Amino acid sequence: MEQAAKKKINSWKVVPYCVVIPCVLIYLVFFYIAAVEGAVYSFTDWNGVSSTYNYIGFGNYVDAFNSEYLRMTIRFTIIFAVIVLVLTNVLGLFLAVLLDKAIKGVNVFRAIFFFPAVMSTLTIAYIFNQIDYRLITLLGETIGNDVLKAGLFASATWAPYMVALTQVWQSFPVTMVIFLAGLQGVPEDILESARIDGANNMQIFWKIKIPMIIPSIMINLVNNTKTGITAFDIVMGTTAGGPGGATYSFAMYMYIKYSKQEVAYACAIAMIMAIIFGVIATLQIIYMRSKEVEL
Amino acid sequence: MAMAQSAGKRFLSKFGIYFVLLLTSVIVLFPFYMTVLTAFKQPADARNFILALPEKWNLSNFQQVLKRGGYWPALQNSTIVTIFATIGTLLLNTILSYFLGRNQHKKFFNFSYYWFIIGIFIPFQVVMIPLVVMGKTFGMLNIPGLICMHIALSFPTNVFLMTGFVKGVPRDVDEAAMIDGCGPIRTFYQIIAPMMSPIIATALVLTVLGVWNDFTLPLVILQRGEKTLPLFIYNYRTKYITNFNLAFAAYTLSMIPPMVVYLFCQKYIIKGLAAGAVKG
Amino acid sequence: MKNLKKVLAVLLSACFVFSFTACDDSGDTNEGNGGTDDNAATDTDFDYYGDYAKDISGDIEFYQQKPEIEDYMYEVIDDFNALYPNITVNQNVQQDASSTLQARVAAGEFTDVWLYWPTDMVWESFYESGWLMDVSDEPFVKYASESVEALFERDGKFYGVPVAMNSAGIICNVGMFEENDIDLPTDWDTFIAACDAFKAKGITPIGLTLKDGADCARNIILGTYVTGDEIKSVAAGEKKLSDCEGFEKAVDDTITIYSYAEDKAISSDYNTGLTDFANEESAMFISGNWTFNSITGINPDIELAMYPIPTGNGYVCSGVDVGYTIGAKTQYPDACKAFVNFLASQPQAEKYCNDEAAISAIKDVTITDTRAKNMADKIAAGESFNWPNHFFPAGGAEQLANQASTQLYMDMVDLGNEKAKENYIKQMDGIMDGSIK
Repeated sequence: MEQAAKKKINSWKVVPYCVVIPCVLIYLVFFYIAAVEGAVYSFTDWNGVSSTYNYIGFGNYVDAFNSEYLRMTIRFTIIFAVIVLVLTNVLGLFLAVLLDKAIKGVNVFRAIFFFPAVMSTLTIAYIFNQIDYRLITLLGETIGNDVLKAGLFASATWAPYMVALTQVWQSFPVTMVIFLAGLQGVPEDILESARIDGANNMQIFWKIKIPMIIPSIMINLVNNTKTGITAFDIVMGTTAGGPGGATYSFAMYMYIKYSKQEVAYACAIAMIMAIIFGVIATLQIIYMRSKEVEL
Repeated sequence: MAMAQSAGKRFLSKFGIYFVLLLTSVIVLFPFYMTVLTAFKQPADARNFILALPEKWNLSNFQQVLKRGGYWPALQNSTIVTIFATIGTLLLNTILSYFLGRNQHKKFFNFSYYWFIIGIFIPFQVVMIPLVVMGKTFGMLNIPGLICMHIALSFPTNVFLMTGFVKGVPRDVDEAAMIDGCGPIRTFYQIIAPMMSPIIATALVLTVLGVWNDFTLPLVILQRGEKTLPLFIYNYRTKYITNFNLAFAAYTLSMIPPMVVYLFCQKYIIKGLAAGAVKG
Repeated sequence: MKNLKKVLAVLLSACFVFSFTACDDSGDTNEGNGGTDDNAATDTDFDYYGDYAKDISGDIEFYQQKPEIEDYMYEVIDDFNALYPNITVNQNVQQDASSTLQARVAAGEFTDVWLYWPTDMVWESFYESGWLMDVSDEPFVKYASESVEALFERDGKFYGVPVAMNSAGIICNVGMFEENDIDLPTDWDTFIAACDAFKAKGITPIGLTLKDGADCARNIILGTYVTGDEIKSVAAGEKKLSDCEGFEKAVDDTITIYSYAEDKAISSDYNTGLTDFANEESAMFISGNWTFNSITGINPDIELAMYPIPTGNGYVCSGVDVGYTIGAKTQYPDACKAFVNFLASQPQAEKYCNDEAAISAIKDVTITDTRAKNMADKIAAGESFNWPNHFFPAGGAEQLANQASTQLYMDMVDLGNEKAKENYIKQMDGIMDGSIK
């Protein structure tokens, strides 16, 4: 009897390791080892086809840092990530607040707004591409605006923003639904007592509701960060990196190089991407730990 | 007087809210309208205004897309990948997050936690090319391989979401179970997992949407002619196929299955997505 | 909400039912077609298929990247199966054929029968890594005319067989020229006059597709001024592109043509440009014979004619459009050979070339389609050159050159022609010597 109990207690010590270690190993293989493998290729001249390759040191990195396209890639990534992260959350929260008011038809609106989320990003990108080419150009001709006439996805200035806005169009529904759930989960009695204490709507929103929906905020931040830094299908479908490289995302740049038999160069781009985001990630984690935020 | 003003104000604010909501609905629905409309048109219709109704409503574009083949296999592949990748993702991540969340005071588990979540901020595309090379080593450049890779790359966000949730589940629960002589696995499945169901529901919806719509991974992993729906769509947009009415028919067809599922499970999907957002 | 759901559900299920019935219908018609085509293949005297036994069996993949002939090829496969019932051919149409195939090769696999064109860098790299089968001793190599077959020769051995050649230039909507009483563009002066005349009437003269930079015009023009050998030596790093005598003129002519672009040309990719041309929104389109069926598919009444771009030496840009290569490591070499033999046989080649308005690479093929006759005559007279981009350095140079042409147009709009030309020449030099990546 006692032995059995002891066994149980032991199993509480052992089993967690038995579960976590395999998962750590899976991730080791598919992420860390793969990343190291990519790092090795980045120092070669491998074209992806031949069975042999030579080590060429930092050659690919030198080329990359001399490349106009890397600069454009970084610029686009910043624009895209910031717009997607900020606008999706702001818009999602704004609409959630509206829907949280006791009005008729909330469910209908919520159902309609969710439509874009169930569609594949690529399809959406193609559709917006057509809207741009068929409709925006027509609009431009009608009102005589030169930028619109040529189409917004074809404008080196506007294309990055338009691509990001297209992504926001797809991403806001999930964000909104999560915020809405958070808002609806705020207990009515807390709000009531705040009102009795004379708090106005603004105060209630910032001082009570926002702290209460921290879980929703966390989910949305993580989810939208992921969307913001992995842009690929949306670019592929709208501009394919153009015009003139203005909408190269890291993934797009890599994929183009990869498909044109410059695999080693693509790996170097991947490594630069990993380093940039790795540094940001580490800083973020250190910062959050220093603030003792539960991460 | 004051009453009237406030009533007027309330009317205005209500009006404003509806205006914003209707405007958003139009922005959301407009591309759908255009897609379906274009799918019914013939190339000759392109001479007319793009938003005009087709000269003749017919289904020939849809018929042609289906005749060309590829739609049903792609739908089947997408369904298989989504189902298995989601099941695998949830099975592994829930129990993993449970143990990570409960043992974070131990060095190894704390380390493991960061081991996974660093991946939130590092896009998986960093390892995209090596994965293709590795996929060959393990014979994984196929549908099962794609499923495995989806699962392997699902750790960061799910661990982050679920571990956070597990910490909110009172520890007394497992301590009671432990004292009762209940093993960790049984405790997890019988007691903890049901308590985690809100975040599991959220993760479920996010995973299904993510896997179903994923394009990058299948693009590089599937090479034996197998296609998922996004790849099917991608192939419709080739350099040489010029009939974009046909392409829109293909887009419409690719939208139908998720739309059907969404319409019938709308309540559960939104509830599920929402569940994790409320403190457990 | 409930009602909306119901209505939508009914609509969607209706769609499904329709699509199912549609599926059945098309299946029937397909079989019908297969039956009639059989006769066409069997009424020649020479037995092209005697060298390969009818009972060869195998399960092979047919890998190709010409989606516009996907349906056509399914019919061909049906015909083939009537002769060789034991061979299963799986057609695999890939958008990025070269890159997916390359990923496969990275994984140690290739395909069985590959439709591609030689002299291209992708083909070359697969050849160098030993993925392509030596078919020198097969009878079908002799079906092709020697000069074209030579493109598949490496070190005295043949690694494939060509079936059809393409040609690219100015595709004209003859009806629009006649209607507006404008002369067809037989030389540079008539070409420019036609552009001006259309422009004056408010019609887009040339449907340029500058969005994805996959604009044929600058590529073809380059070829009329700079020879393939010169580009090869540029790619080898022996000289700069800007040192080639004709390059600057090629850029000038490209700029002249681009100056006729309408505003939305920069938003227009190949698909939309072609659709617009088929719908008579532009009078000319710069591309190749492979677009003919797509165009007539959209607008069956359109009357087409094709002329070379009248720049430089005025030669015709032409390359192998359809060539078949067999994977060296195929599991079913005999089945692959039988299939390629079938595809390259005179009856099949004749059928293909007439269907696609292509120029035959197979001997004794009579072509009745006259739309590309101007081009075919010039090619027969030896006045042709291969696609210049095939000689570009391996890797991303071609893609970058595409982008550079989009950039050229944007610079023309923003900075004026002089500055645009200067930038473009600098950029092309960088792309060719590999300093721009």
